[in-house]
Amino acid sequence: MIEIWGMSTQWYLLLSAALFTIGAVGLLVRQNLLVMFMCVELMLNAVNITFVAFGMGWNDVGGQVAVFFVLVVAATEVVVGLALVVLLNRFRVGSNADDISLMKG
Amino acid sequence: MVEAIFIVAAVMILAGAFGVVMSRNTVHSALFLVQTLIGTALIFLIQEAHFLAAVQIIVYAGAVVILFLFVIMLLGVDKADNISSAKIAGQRQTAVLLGSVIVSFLFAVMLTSGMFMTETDTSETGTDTSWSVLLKQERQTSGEVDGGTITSAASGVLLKQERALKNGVSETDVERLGRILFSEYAFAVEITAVLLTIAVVGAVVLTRADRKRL
Repeated sequence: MIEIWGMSTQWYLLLSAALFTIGAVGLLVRQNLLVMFMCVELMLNAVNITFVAFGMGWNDVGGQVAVFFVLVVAATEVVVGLALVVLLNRFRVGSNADDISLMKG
Repeated sequence: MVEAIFIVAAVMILAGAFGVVMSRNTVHSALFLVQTLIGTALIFLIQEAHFLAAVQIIVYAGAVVILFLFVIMLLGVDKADNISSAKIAGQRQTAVLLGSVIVSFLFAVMLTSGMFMTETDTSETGTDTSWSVLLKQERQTSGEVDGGTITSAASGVLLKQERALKNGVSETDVERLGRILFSEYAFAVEITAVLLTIAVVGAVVLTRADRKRL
């Protein structure tokens, strides 16, 4: 088993799996668009923990490079997503995902 | 010591994640998200990813959550959100079902990849394809190159010494990351710059005030 300073990687992976599952369930349960975005952030963080754990386990800095790019993509996703939320609020739709029916025609 | 920090960080992360999902107030969700992000930064710190820990605090807790709070307060959507009223029938039950499916898949993958086997278990079953055995072999060969065998008890300390010898003692994690980002991944960094520009321009175009129609 890979050991990082005496701790094996499997504990980091277990934590990551738990965090990812909480994020996924929250994304499905909640209807508020902002909370749904936060749940996506939780899932991205779970993946980041996995990347860093495997990167340290294999003694390779490539895992941290992947986390760097995931951070950038998460930031851009939040910027565009929150712009869309502001736009929806301007049309008096609100921030509830169930009320968005503009595409119904 | 590392185990203690890991337990504290794990409790912080999981409690914060539950808080994000459970709390009715959106502002409370954002603040619980900060707790989760700081716990993740702790996890990065004990794995010697110092640059990522700093970036996690600066970019996530400093910029992303502040952006969330900005939008929450700007739109005034911070009033209590009714969680129990789901418009889609059986939404919560379906979500819990899908969550348990995800959990069982993740654990099935971990179990079948031989991660929870001890060293004696892998030697008994002889699964040569599991990656833990492959890594063990790789580490043994690298230890033979250095002229010594690595026991599993002192592998953490020896791995650190080996790393320090291989990369030069003075080279830190930040230097390694910076060197590889601007040599091997230079093109990806450039593409990242384009992506950020597109995101900023897109946000400005979307939320422009003087637009006539959608």
